[in-house]
Parts: sequence; structure tokens; C-alpha cells
Amino acid sequence: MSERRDRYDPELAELFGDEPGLLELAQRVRESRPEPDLDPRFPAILRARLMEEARTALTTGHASRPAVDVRPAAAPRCRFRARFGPRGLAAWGTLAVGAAVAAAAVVAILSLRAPTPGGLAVVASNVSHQQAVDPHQAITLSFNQPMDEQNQQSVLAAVKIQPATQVTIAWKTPETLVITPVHPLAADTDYQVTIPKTSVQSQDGQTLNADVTIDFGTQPAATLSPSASPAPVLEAAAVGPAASDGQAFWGPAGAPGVTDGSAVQTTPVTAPSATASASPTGSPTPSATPASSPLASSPASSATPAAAAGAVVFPDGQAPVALSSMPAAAVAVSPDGFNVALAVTEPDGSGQIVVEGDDGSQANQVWPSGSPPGSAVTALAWDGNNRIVFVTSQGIDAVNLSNEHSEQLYAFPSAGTASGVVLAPNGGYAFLPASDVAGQPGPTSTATPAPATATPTLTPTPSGVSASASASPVATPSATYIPSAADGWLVTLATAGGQIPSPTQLAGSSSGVVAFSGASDEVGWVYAGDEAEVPSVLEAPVSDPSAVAQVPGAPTESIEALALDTHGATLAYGLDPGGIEIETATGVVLGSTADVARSLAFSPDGTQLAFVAAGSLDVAEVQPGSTTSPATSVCQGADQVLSRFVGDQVSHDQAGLAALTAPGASSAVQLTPADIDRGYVISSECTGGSAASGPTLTASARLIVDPTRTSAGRLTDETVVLGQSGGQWLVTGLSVPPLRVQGSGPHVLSVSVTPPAKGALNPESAVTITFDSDLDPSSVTPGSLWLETSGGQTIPLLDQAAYDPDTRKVTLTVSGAVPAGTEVVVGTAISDIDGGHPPAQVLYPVGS
Amino acid sequence: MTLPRAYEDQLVERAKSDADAFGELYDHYFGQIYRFAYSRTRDQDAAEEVTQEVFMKALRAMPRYRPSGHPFSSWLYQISANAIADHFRQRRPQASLDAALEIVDPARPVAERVVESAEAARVWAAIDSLPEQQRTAMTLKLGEDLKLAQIGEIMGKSEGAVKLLVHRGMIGVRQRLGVSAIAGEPL
Repeated sequence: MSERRDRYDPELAELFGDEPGLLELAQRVRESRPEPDLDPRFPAILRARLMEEARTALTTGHASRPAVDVRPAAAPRCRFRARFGPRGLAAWGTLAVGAAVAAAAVVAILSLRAPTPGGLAVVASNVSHQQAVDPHQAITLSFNQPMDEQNQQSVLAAVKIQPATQVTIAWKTPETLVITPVHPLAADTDYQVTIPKTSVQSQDGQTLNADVTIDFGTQPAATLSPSASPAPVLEAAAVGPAASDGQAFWGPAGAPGVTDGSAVQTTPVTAPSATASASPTGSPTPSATPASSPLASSPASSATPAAAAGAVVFPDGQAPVALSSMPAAAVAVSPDGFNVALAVTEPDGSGQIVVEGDDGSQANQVWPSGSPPGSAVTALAWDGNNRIVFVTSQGIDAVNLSNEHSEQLYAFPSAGTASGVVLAPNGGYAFLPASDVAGQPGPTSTATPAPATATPTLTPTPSGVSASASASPVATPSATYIPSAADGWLVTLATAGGQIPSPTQLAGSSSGVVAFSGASDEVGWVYAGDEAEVPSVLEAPVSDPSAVAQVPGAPTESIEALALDTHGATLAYGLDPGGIEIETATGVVLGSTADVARSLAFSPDGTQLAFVAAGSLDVAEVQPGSTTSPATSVCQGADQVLSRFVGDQVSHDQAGLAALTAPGASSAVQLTPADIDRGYVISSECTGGSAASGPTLTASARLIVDPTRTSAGRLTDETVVLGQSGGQWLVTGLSVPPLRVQGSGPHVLSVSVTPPAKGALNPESAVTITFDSDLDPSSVTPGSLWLETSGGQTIPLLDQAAYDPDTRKVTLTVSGAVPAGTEVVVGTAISDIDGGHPPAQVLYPVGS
Repeated sequence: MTLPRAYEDQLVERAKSDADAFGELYDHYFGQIYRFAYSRTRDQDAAEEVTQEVFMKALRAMPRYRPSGHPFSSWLYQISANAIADHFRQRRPQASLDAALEIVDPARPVAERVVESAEAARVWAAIDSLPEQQRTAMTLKLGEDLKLAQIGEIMGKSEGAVKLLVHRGMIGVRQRLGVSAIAGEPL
């Protein structure tokens, strides 16, 4: 703490370089900055408390909340006494001071607000200032004197709990009072227990000098968490051994396969190549490689490249099939599924392309047709069933299988490395790194993105790379991406699949992490532009590369590998230092694993992901998104964005809020109160919108400031509107009323809708409203709680509202589906068991 | 003071589910955060309160934390800046800056005066009186030696905007100290 950093700060010198007086003043100010006073016990005490919290919060997944004040209850410092309350407590604080950890343990005692100098006092509670209390937990109060146990009824009548909660009480010992909720407490709710000063008395007749209040909060329920649900764990099955740097692919009949690592040293990050093979089979059999298989002792499994076998596929339930006996850097299946092309590397480093039947038979070298030997082939793709496009260190070539005539489509400049070229699976397009574009500088990074006004000289070829190209910013509604000279180019190689109007520079593609969709209709890349606050992933149709859309919710970790499914609707990310995440293009996380993988390949139908990790080829099933019903699919992905938005409000993540807010919408950073501790979504409603406006999700979310020793808890229920912009969900509207004191009376915790059962003779929907307080059942009437349309029409119920005191849920049942635009109306007539009412009528959007 | 980036990234990732890893982060960053809190509040109790708040909030939000390309400390400073702002919203400054400044002898060059501790405290009091954004930028730059880019990340501003805040802040300090110009420097 006493470190003084008096070293030279070049940034200050630059900032005040022409104002020596200010520079000197700044340096002096810097050198004379005050050394902080620090109670040496404080770091250890806070650490102890944090560890206690961490072991609960990080292992249970329950987000903790600001907890007990752990600052040292130090007798020598009067300021502590003053802050902890009246002098009476200072005595307890003094007694409690000892070892640092011991001091932490008694803070709960000190933070009770009971000024009782020398008299009767509550000295401990198991929940005081705890913020993740189990809703089933009883509340204990310990007194410093034996208590009169004869007055239980009067104590019961006097004890107050907010939110209103029915309890029983019992004296566990003469000094310990136990308060037990009749029903489990509400989740994620702040509670305050008040013991009126005259409600209890000691055996010698003393009473408290003042009311005692105990504040605590309950742990959140999973369904109320503002965080997106944890990503489901990908269930991956190992299908066979693989060299650590082998490339996963999908071979004939949808069998997963892997190339040998030794042959792929220069293989680019690539998209799945088996784009049009036969339908995949079912799940591969885990550990399909029999122990006696040659593969079991294959060098491929021992990561010894020099002795490696060729590419291998693992048909479901069958023995592995070696597609070649020599190392193969790339494999592609013909669109009709009958042939497999392999880029084989000879021992002398030369390359050849071999085409064989889908069972590995009838191998036929198709390139080079004679001498001299060809360069090593690093990638290949089928352009139809009779033409193969491939990449060598010299350029991009194609070979016609009918006459084995080859032609060069594009020649790399001498400075090119060819290592970052990515071919589209249909051979119609390629991504060329800047270093492989003639006239462009080498792979140097540019610190400041600038419009690439210089026209690169792309080598014209017979098959169609245009001779001229102009770089222009490509924009989404939310951002403009300006290419830099270091970014690569998307070019057309053949006529198949349509032409790109002109070579287009992909802004931010200097990352080199680029992939095409299996159908070659989309290209995705990791954006490495300097303006990006966080790594992001962009996607664009190859037919219109200027129509760039940012993929929402892409991981912010370093993305080292990328794969797109058939049409780019689902993406897989290989993360650094480890982890695979599969998400939809709308930001829905479908699954993740901790595997370290750099080669990812979707199956042709997108239902499986093959990857190489830890010396094994694994295949994971890609689970579809959970929102599948037509009624809600128009808002698929919006819930997750909403959860992230509320989570960012709670964590004050300005960058996150900005990223989730549509251009022109109110600033969430400005509207969100700075001191929010918790938040959760209460209800939401999806509407289809019009062709012009698109679907909309309107939600009500609660932001909460937990009570402290000096201030009451406050909350506000905000309205969040999400719409689609550029294919992604963003917050387009936000209304945050001022925080208000939580006060008494019941509050709604959540509203949910259960749609009619499929095929039901009398379809009906249930709207469930969960409250934080025990309700007075007689107050749950059509006049206190009802449904109405957006036009204010009351929606008739099939039956009376049903209240379940165990769960504090009220269920309203209506015929058929809940109409769009429906709102739950909670009127002021509804009452908790203490007679508290909501301060005002509140509406919550629900519906399809 | 700076953890190796790769190690920090791993530690942060582990801290999402491992209390000991979070403890290691705490051990490393406690000093910085406490010092920043103290620099801004100039009060031991307040600094403790803010520091406690920062690490509790960080712990709570840890599972949602995603690296932004900046050091983990940027995130902690960001939480700290919010916590300090909350602190000042709830508790107004107790001392009058005007009272503190009225005894300044404007005849002496400011740069000379700040070498004395009392004067240094006065200068830092002048920083305290700056507008919120300038105050935060000045404290992070002159009190914490952070890079302008990192301050920008913490404050959600561009590096250029931070430069402007620091520059204006220094001019503001000079004005508040009652000196129109440093010796030899024209206005």
C-alpha cells in the first residue's frame, strides 16, 4: 500500500508537452498523492468474509448480494462505534474484537440496530444482513439474558415481518427465540423482521430500549435470476483418436473424420467441407475404435506427425476407415456423396489430389496430371461433382475431373503465405488474407482503421476474380465497419452459387478467423477492428457482403476458431484459452464445453459438431433452442438479450448496456440508477408486430436497491422494449420510473403463462402471478386481480382466481390462448395478511 | 503490480467458480482499489465501505464477467467509480473547500507549494471539487497511474475524451488554487 510510483509518465509528458507549468504541477500532484490510512486488520477481515460468500455463491450459482458489513469493529477507533450505532453496541464490539476473523464473525451481532446500553439486547441472529438466506430457513434471535418464555402469543402478535409472512415462534432456549415461516419465504426478496421493544422481556422483567430490526435477503430462485440460464453442457462423445492439430471434417455418409496433424501445418482455419454429402447417420458410437483396430496404435493417436496415417472417418457403429495411407491435409465429399477428394502430402513435401470412392476404394490421382510434382495442397472444395478447387502455396487452382485439366484461378503475390486462405465448401468463394492479395502490404496490423481508399490489384483470372476492387465501409443499422489495409478479401472463384459483385474487403477480418456456412451462402468472421470494445463476430451473405450483421451474444473471450452450420444460423466458437460455445445467430447459447479445440465442423444438417480436443475426435449433439413453438418463435432470442440487459444494469456494465441498446434509443447507462443491487424480469410479452416493425418483446423488470443500515430498500419496475435490428435483438425502448421505497403491501415477483395443451378438447391457458407476501385469500377477487386487453377490456376468467398459500401464487384461467396485448392488473384492493395494500395499481404485460 | 495477462485471464476464469481464485484476485487488487477509494473519499471509513462494496459486487457479478480485452482491474475500477459516486450521492462533503482554500498564498508558484504535504492535501482537495468526470479521470491518472486508454475503458469514454478531462481538470486545479498561471507560463 505504501508504494509510491514516482516514475516518469510519458502520457503526462505528451498531454502537457507544450504547457510545462501544467506538466510540472501534474507531476508534483502525482508525487504528492496521499498515502491512504489503512486499518491493517481490514484486508484480512474483508477477505475472510468474501471467501465465505464466495464459497456459497460460486459453488451454488446463487448470486450473492451485498452482505454483512465486515469492517473491523475496532474499539480503539471511535469512528467505528459511531458508524455501527449507539454506544451500547460499542461495548459488544469491544468484547468481540480479537483476531481478525473473529471480528468478522461477530459483525452480524454488531449490525443489529438495538440500542441497549447495559440492558436487555438481541445479540445475534443467524440471518442478520445475510443476503442469500435459504427460504426454508428459520430465523433465530439470541438475547443476552434469559427470557420470559411465557408470553409466546403476545410475542407472535407483536413480531412483524415485511413482506407480510405468517410465522410461528418458539423458545429454543431461554435466550434463543426461533421464528419459523409457515410457508417458505419468497425467493430473491429483502425481508425485515421487527421486534417491538416491549414485546419481549427478560426473566427479571427488563425490556428492550428500542425496537430491534433485522434485515436479510433470500437467495434467488433460478427462474427469477436475471442472468441467462447457464449454457447447457454439450454432451460430446469421443469417436476416435486424433492428432492434436488434426482437422475435423464430415466424410461420406455423414461420418465424422479427422485429418492427420502432420499434413495440416499450413491448413487454414476452415469451414466444414462436407456441405452436400449424404444425410448424416445417428450419433456416433462413443469410443468406436476397437482396441484391436490399427487406429488404436495409429501414430495419429500418439501425435507423432512423422509416422501419421492419412485421414480417417468413423462411420457409426463400424470400424474406422482410413481414406488414405498418406497424410491428408484436407478432405471434401462431392455434392452427390459418391466421391471423396483428399489433399495428400507426399513424404518429399509435394502435394497431390486423390479422388476415391466413398468407401475408400478406386483411388485416382487427379492432380497433378504429370510432372513436375505439385505444391502441397492446403485446402480443397468441390465445385459441382466434376471440378475441384484447391489452394497451394502458389495460388488457387481448379482441376476438371473429366480431362484432369487444371487452371489457375488466382496467383498469390510472392509475399503471400497462403496459410490463411479459406475456401467456401462449394468452391465458389474464397477468403484471402491481405497478405495474399497482390499489391497489398504484408500482414501488418494497422493501429487506426481507415477507409482503404487504395485499390488493390487483384490478379485477374479467367474464372472471375475481378481486376478492380474498392473497399467501402459496410454497415449495419447499429455500426459501421471500416476495413483497414490489414483486412482480407472475399472473392468469387467460380460461377457456381452466384457472383460477388466485386471483391469485397471484410472489415475487421485481419483476425483471420473466418468461416463459410455449409451451403456457402454466408460468411462469418471474428471482428478485429480497433474500434471494437469487445471481440465480436460478424456475418454476411456472400451474395451481398455489405449486408453485415453483428452476431449478438458472441463470446467476448478470444475466439480462435469459428464454424457456421448449413446456413449460418448457428455458430460454434473455439475459445482461448479453452472452451467451445455453440450459439444461434440470434444469441441463444445452445451449449458449451470446456474442451480446448481449434478445429470445429458442423455436420451437413447442423445437428452435430465435430471437434478435435485432447487427442480425440469428439462429436457433440447440437441441441435446438428451447423456444420452438410458432407462437413464440418470432421472439426467439429476445429473452436472453433481455436477461443480459438486466444483468448488465445490475452489474453497471456500461459497455454491455451500450451494445444491447439500439441506436437512437434512450441511453440505458443514463437511465439506470447507479446503485442497483439486484434485478429480475417479472413478465414479458411477445407480439408479432407488422411487416414494417417486426416482432417486439415488451417486458417488465424490477431493479432493486437493497436496504442498508442507514437506508430503506428501494425499487422500481422498468419497462423494456426489444425489437430486431439487423437480425439481432436490441433494446429499442426503456422507461425507468424513479426508485421508490419498497414499503409494505404485496409485490409481484413474476408473471408467467402456461399455454393450452396441444390437442386439448377445451383449450385453456393459465396465468400465474407470484407474490412476495402471504396474501389475505379473501382479497383475491375479480376486483383486485384481473386480466385485460390492451384496449382495457376485461378478459373473462373460466373460474375464480385460485390462490396457493404455499407458493404465494394466484392462478387465473382463461379459455384458449392468452390474447396478444394482455396485461395482468394488480389492483390496490389486494391485501396481505397484515392488511397492507399496493400503493398503486400495477400492470404487467403477458401474452403469447 | 500487473499480473501476466495470460495468467490473469486464467485466474479470472477460474474465479467464476473457485473461491480461492477469487481470493487471489482480491489479494492482488485490494491495494489498488482501496487506494483509489481512499483517494476519492479521503476518509478511511468511506474507503473501507467502498472497497467492501466493490469486492462484494464483483463477487456477485463474477459469473457474468466476460473479458473486454482490458485488464481485470478496469472492471474493478469501474465498479469502484460507481460505488464512489453512490457514496457521494448519499453523503455530502463535510468540509468546505472554500474554507480550505482561503488561506492560500497566491504569490507562490503552485508547483512549489504542492511539495509541502499540507499544500498537497489542499491540491487534492481542489481535485475533489472538480466536476465528477474530471475528478475521476484525474484520480485515475494522477493517483493510480493508469493509462489513458484504460481510464477510457473504466469511464466508458474514448481516450481523447479522457485526455480532455485530465487537461481541463489540471486547469481547474490551477484555477481553484487561486493562481492564474504557473510562474513563467502565460495564461
